[in-house]
Amino acid sequence: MGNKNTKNKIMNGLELETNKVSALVIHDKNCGIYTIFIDGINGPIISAPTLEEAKEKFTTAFRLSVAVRNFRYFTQAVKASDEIKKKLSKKILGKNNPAIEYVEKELDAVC
Amino acid sequence: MLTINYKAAYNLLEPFYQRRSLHQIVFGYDTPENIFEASKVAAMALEDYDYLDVMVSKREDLDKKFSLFIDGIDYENLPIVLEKDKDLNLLEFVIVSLKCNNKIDPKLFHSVIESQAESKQKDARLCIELFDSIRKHFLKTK
Repeated sequence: MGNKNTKNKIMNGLELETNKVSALVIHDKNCGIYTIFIDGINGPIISAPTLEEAKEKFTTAFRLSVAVRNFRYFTQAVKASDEIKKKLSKKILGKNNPAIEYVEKELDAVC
Repeated sequence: MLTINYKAAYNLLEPFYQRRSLHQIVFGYDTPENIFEASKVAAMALEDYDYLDVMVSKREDLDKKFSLFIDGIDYENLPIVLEKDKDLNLLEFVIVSLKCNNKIDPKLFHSVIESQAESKQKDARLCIELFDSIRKHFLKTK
């Protein structure tokens, strides 16, 4: 799953750092449904009847959301002036492919 | 259990976000043609295979499975991603409302719950109370 390289890469003097995001997993015991999302920021909101299925779908949707964000960021960087471009490029590289850490949390039944 | 019809959730979000397919994002009218090619070259140089996988190999498949809701101004933020044509459970609907907290008035979420509950012969007041209580729980833990 994802980019397992957690070491920094240096490319053209710019640093690529793989960071980590925490995804909340909430299991509604009454319905048996697992819901996964990232607390505090946008991204995918996924639910499934099994934890494995929910994680699989979430991982796919999360990679999609990161790729879209990076593409939009890349587009802005290309359009920007040289000075801004340098700043944006650094930020793009720093945001690539965060690893997902799943945190399970209890919540009273919501059915 | 009250579920929120996908189309009702979609209609609620659509006026506040740009709703684009992955294909439209990559080849949209506001994206110069060469930028996508340049992003592929950069991704290859960086060995960013996740990016290439999403944008090249699986683009069509992903477009069929997921809907993307994009903030037109904030390009640093991730898009909201929902599964296409899949109804949302109440918890998912709460999470959507929290992600849209600065854009969409929670009362509009109440209206959707009310109409969904009525059409499914559920107690709308109870569903809204449950929605508010879960929302409050998450807002408190921030």
